[in-house]
Amino acid sequence: MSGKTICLENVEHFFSSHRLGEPPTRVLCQTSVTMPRQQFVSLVGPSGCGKTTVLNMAAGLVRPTQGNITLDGQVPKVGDPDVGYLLARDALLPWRTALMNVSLPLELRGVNRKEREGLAHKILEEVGLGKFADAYPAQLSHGMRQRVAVARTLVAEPNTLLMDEPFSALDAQTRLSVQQLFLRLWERVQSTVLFVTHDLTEAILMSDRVLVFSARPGRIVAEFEVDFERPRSLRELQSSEKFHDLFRRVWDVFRQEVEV
Amino acid sequence: MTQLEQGLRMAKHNEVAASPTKAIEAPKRRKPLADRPLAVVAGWIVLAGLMGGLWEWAGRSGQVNPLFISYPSAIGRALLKGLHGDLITVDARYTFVAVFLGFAGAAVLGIAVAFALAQNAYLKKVVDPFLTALNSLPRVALAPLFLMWFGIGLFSHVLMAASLTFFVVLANTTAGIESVDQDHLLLARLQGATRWQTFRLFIVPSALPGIFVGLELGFIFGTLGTVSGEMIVGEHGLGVRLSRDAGIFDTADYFGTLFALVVISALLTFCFQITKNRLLGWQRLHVVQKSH
Repeated sequence: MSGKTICLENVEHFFSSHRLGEPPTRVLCQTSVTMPRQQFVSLVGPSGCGKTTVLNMAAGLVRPTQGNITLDGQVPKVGDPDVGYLLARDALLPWRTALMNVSLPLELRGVNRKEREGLAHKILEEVGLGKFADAYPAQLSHGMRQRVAVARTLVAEPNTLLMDEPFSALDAQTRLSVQQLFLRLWERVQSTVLFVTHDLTEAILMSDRVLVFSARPGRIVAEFEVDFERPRSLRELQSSEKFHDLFRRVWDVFRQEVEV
Repeated sequence: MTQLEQGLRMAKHNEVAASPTKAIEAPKRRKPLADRPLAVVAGWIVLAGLMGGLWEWAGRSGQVNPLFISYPSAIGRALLKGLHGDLITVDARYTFVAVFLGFAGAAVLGIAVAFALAQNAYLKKVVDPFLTALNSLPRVALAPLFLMWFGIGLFSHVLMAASLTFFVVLANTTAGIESVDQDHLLLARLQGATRWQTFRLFIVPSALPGIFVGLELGFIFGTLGTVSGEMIVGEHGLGVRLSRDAGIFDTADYFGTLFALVVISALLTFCFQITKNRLLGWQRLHVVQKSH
């Protein structure tokens, strides 16, 4: 599986003000950056810095006020089957079992019932929920629900993943296990990942590259390569010296932006 | 302490020691009355008996003139006579045929109009005040008009049921459609769902609980519409029977007819709830698994 190259060229973005006569707010300064295919890139920064706006642009939900954003040279369009999404809220359909939720993206694409349920079963096994295929979301814990959401995102094998603080709603222990699970699945296929988070630890543990955004209006103030070998064990990595070194370096930049 | 008691204690103690899992089990406590079905049924019988007994006594002893309130045993006899006569075979059938026809037509129309208005925001804004006005009209006031236009036959009574059911179903279906989770709609968009898929797989299931509330209430309101129409004028029907009984002070038959009306409505509502629970089983699920 290849993955797409995400490219921002002189992208600038304004939110129009709700009140008449007020000038629009600039959320993103001129930004140019390229995320090569198969790279796991994290965007970190204080709230309101425009990192989610960048993600929404890549999803085709938002058109930049100025400049261009492209996926493999194409203007992104909503509903691209090659692009998968994972949000903080699992957004599972409460009237569907775990299996039916996971097979939903395939159903929307017209895959026949037998095939889509087979694939959904397989991926549910991989996220450790094989026994819970027939459970409804209300019967699952937060962590399990988010794992179902991970399975739903990956079942159609998208080559590009857009993730908006996908693990932020989980408690610390559960978060680490879901992060590790996701990373294990991702390391097999290495799709392009654009990962928005405000959690530095998460960004450094998981990505190949961390982009630090400034406070609003956002711009990229620093960029760090994370060259820890893969596959990674998050528990081990978390207590290693090289992780702490990098964390300190990123934190020095990040702190200045948060304190502004 | 007798020897026997001591022996029992020892035996109990040994049992606990032998199976450690039993040791941590909570001590057996009597279930609260509210959780014991037999106790609840017994309560019903006692309450019904008390009320019925009081009524019987008041009517028979002449404490209250039985001409006005009758009493249970007389009502039972009247009901029996009615069952042999045309209470069920003619009047109840006539009433509920009218309710069903009106309810079914209005329910289909109400659901269809709700979905149509949900698709078109402009149309909804234009139509809304008119619907509100019609809905706030006491529909029973329309009965004489319907009777004047369409005669005293079945059709007028069908319309009475429909005029009440329609708005209840419309309002509840609209509420159901509007309750759709915005995250689900975002998900549908991001996954490239077509308009029809979004409707069928995301909006309709979200609206279903609201639709069922509407249907359940709509049926009750439909019955109200038909019966009150019949009470004004009609050839047959439970409402016709009620107003005739009241006119000739046949209180026992009046209560008997009311009883039949309640029982039939309750049975139909019950069937309805069974269907609903089968379709919306997911709604009643609670969190059973806290953490993995």
